[in-house]
This record gives sequence, C-alpha cells and structure tokens, in this order.
Amino acid sequence: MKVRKFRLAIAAALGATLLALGPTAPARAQSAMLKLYVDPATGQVFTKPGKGRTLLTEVPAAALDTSAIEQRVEQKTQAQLDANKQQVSQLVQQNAQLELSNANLERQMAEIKPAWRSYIDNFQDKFRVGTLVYGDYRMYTHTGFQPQELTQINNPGPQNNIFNSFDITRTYLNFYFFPTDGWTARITPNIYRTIGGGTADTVGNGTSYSSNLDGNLGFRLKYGYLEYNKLFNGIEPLKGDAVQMGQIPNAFVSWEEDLYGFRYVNLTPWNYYSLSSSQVGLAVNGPIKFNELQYADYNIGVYDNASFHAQEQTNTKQVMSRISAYPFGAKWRFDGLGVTWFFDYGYGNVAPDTVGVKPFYQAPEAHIMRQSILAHYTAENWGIIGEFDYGHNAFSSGNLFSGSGPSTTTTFTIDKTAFSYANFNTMTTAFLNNGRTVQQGFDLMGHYHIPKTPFTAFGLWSLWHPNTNVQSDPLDFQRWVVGVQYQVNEYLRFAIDNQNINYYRGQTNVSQQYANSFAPGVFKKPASGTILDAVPVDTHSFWINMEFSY
Amino acid sequence: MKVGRTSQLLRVSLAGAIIAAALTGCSTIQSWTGRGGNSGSFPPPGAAMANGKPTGPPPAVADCTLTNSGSPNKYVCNGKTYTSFQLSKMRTDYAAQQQSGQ
Repeated sequence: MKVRKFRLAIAAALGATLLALGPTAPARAQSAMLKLYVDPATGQVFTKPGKGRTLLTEVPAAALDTSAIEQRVEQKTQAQLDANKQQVSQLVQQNAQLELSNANLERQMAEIKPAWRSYIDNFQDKFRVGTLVYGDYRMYTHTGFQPQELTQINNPGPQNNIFNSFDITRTYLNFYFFPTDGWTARITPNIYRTIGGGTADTVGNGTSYSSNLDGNLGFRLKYGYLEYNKLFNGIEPLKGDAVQMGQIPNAFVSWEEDLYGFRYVNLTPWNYYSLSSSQVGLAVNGPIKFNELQYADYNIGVYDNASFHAQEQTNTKQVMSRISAYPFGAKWRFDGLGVTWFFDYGYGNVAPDTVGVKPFYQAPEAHIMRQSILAHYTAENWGIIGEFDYGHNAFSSGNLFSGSGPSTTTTFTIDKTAFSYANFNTMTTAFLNNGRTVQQGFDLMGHYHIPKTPFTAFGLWSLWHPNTNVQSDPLDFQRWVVGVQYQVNEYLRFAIDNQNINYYRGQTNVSQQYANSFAPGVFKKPASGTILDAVPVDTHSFWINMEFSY
Repeated sequence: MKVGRTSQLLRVSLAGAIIAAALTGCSTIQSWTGRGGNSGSFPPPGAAMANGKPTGPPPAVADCTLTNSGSPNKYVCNGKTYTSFQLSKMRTDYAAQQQSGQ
C-alpha cells in the first residue's frame, strides 16, 4: 500500500513535469525512454533494474531538455541584469541631480560678493601705478670738468681717462589716484645719488658708527601734486585744460623732453644748464583747440625760487610761462610746425635779511632770468628743433661743475711742477657768480626713424656762452650728442651714443686782474698773477642707455 | 603697310614698356615708404575688416612717435594716439590671431 502510494506520487510528479514541458513533448516522443526503478523496502529510486527493485515509471529523455534549463537560467540572469541596470540608471539620475544642485550652490556662492571685493573693484578704477627706469653704462675716453649729463651722475675730472660706470639715474614709482571726477593726485618718488656729508657718529666713550650717507641711492619726492581738469570745460577751446598744485612739472622742461624724445640719453638744454624739471607751486596748462585742431599750447606757473630739492628761503616767487603756437593746426600734440616761447623770471634762493660779503656781495639774491625761442617741426618719422637761449645769472660755477668740478684744496705735480685748480676755480666763480652774468645759447636737436626698422638716429648740438660779458670766455663750450636708438617693444628701448663737451677756445691764460673786474677782490691784492691754461680740457664719452617705462 | 605695322608694334611695345616701368617704379617706391598694400602700416580707412577688426598688422611702436612720457607712454601712429598698453595689446592679439589661423 505504501509502495503504491509512493509510485502514484512519483508518477504524478513526473506527469506534472511532462505537462509543464508540454509543447516540446510530441517532438521528443521518438527519443529514448528513461526507466526508473524503486526499491519498495527503502523507497529509493534507481535508474537501473536490480534485485528487489520494481519498475516505477518510464520518462522520455527529451523531457529532460538542457536548453530549457539554460533558458530559465538566462531568464533569471536577464532579470537580474535588468534590475542592476535600473539601479545604475537610478544612481546616474541621482548623481545628475547632485551635480545640478552643486552648480546651483556654486553660482549662489559666486553671487555673494564680499565687502572687500567691492572695495577692490572700486579702488582699481581710481588708482594706477607705473614706473620709469633709466640706466646706463658710460665710458670716458677723456674725462674733464663739466655739468651732469644725466640726473645725479658724476665723473672724475682730467687725467682719469677710461673711467667707466654702470648707473641707475631714474626709478620713478608713479602713483596716480582719481578719487572723483576731474581730480587727479600724483605721487612720484625717485632715486637720487647722495654725495658728500656725514661724519661718523660717536657712541659712548670708545665707539664710532660710520656715516652711510655718501654715495647711497636714496629716494626723494620728484612729483607730488593735485590736478583738476574740469575748470575750463565751459570754454570749448580750453576744454580739458588743467590746474596743478604742489610739486609739479615746470612749464618748460618736461614739455621739451617730450618734444625731443630722448631724455633717457641726455638732458635738454636748460635742464642741462641749470633749470630743474620739477617746481613747487601752482600752474595752469593745456592746449587751445578749434575744430579738433590744436593751435596753441600753454603752461603758466608761479613757483618757489628754490628747486624741488632745496628749501625755499625767499620772500619773492618765480614766474614761468611757455606758449607754443601751431599756425597750421596740429592733429596731435607736436604735429607739424610749431613756434615756442619760454620765459622764466625769479630770484636767487636766499633769505631776505642776507647780508652779502666780499667779493660777491648781494649777487646770490640777484634776479635769474631764462628765455628760449624754439622753432620745431615734428612728423611721425622725424623731428627737428632749433632753439635760442638767453639768460641772466642762470648758469653758476655750481652748474658748470655739477658733474665734475675742480678741487680747491689739493695740489698735484705735473712734470715736477706743483699745480692746483684753486685759481681756475676762483676765476670761474668770478666769471659766473657775480650777479651780472648774461648767457646765450644755440641748440639744434632732431631724430630720424629709419623706416621699417626699430632704429632711430638722433642727435643734439649746443653752443653755450656762460657769460657773454667775458671776452673770449675760456668757459665757452659746445656740446654734442649723437646716437642710435633700438626700440625693443612698447616699454623698453636702448640707445648707443657718444657725448662730448668741447671747450672750443684756444688755450690761453687769464689775468687775475681781469677776473677781479667781474668780482672785485676775488683774487687778493695785488692780483698780478695769471690763471694758467684757463680753457678746460674736453670730455668725450661713449654710452649705452636704457629706458623702461610702464 | 609693312612699315606701318612695324611702327604700330613699336609704339605698342614702347607704351607697354613705359607702363610696366611706371608700375615697377611705383611699387618699388611703395615698398620703400611702406605706403600701399599691407606693408607694415595699420590698414588705411576702407581696408579689409573682419568682425569689426582690421585684418592687417597693427602699428609697430618703432614706427610711431612718442608724444608723452609717463605711465603709460603715449604714441602717435598714422595720426592716431595710442598708449603703450594699447599698442602692446594690439600686437599680442594680432600675433595670437595669426597663430590660431583665424
């Protein structure tokens, strides 16, 4: 009974299987049959007949189809893959949402401008900084006494040939502030070479600190001023003209430097002779235009008598004016033919209660006058300037010897003869510092840009009479500069040039008596001696100059 | 007739030679002075433009004249005033444009 039940159960199971495989069964009817046997005692099923085993059932082998099994496995795997794919898709979607969210967050953060950012944005529109650097290498084939070729450079006097030097002569730090419409503040510190002065400091009983003043490159203020350029806006031809107050460029020198274009190589005439480029005072300047053409350009100022590197001592002031006319109308600043007149009138920088002493008496407070008349023509590739200079008390021995001057305290020996520059120096002071001197000069300057090249040839020639009252003045000289400029880019240029001072009078002696006629008593009585070889030796030098402007 | 043909040929040849010489001369002068074509000058009014910008090279600072020394310097090139910054930017922009081939 038990065996029968078991048989029936197995038969039912196999039948169900066959039914499940239904559609495939007919196709496999012809295939081999699998016979199953059972041991009724143990209930075990066998595929082979044996002792005590009875046939349980027969199953078509085709019913056990492996492909069907594989298909089921594949279906299961596919289902799993589909599930994974869906999961990945969900993750990608979530990631995209996160990225979008991050981008939104970043945008929101970027839009949150902190206060300092606003301050900087506002500041940078009202502030500009720049620099201007001049450097050079110079070598003198012949050294001599002379004015400085560039600001605050010096050279040894005669008998020091092949003296050479690398120099930095300008390092402007240009700060411009534009706080409100129309107003500009400019502050420009610049280097200068400190010369002389300074004794060692004594500390305690046995200690000394050396002076470090001599020869250092120090900084001093070159420009420091306020400018307002809206004052004349109601007058159309003067629109944009400016009022300047403080330590400002004077009426002439800076203007002529721009007209000449090679200030980094050499000084322009009056700047070379005695006039600083910066003055403390008040000025008004600008172009006069009609129909966009400039017909005139002016600069009128009142300044201290002291230069910018001296302290004012006078109870008077100095007046300067420059008027340039462009008869055919200039499309740009120096365009075409121009005629310029410069006039300067002031006084020596001494206190009102100064009591003059022999031999120059009140000469230090004498008036100082400078004038120039220029005719100039400027084209884009070339320019030429002719200048006539005229002055009163505008060229002292200090100016003549600003670059190199004679020592008055030393004596040296040439060919076993004791020699000193003391008399020569005294003669020079008599001729130039007497308060009644008259200067006269002629200058020719120009440049020519060689087309399609970065090269420009330039030159300057000057004839200078330090005092026309002196007959055959041994101090009369010619100065000439020739060179070629290489423009590297918008900010950098170099020049190689040759600079010379030629005291062109034939060598001569000057009597002390003649010198005394300019400054009585400059040579002590009986003043019967002579100043030997009164004409200084010439100076010749080769230069490489550099300008960086930004 | 033959003489006439020869004479006409000679006249035409001479006229051609004169025109050729004149054209050669003018082009030589142009190359010396930099006027005409695109030989270094900023394109004159009416020159080819692309996207509102001149397609020729900008003015080179060496070909300009200094009118103001300061921070920045000012130059005049072909009658127009530029700062050193503007000239520098035009030069670098043009170089980049040439490099990218656009």
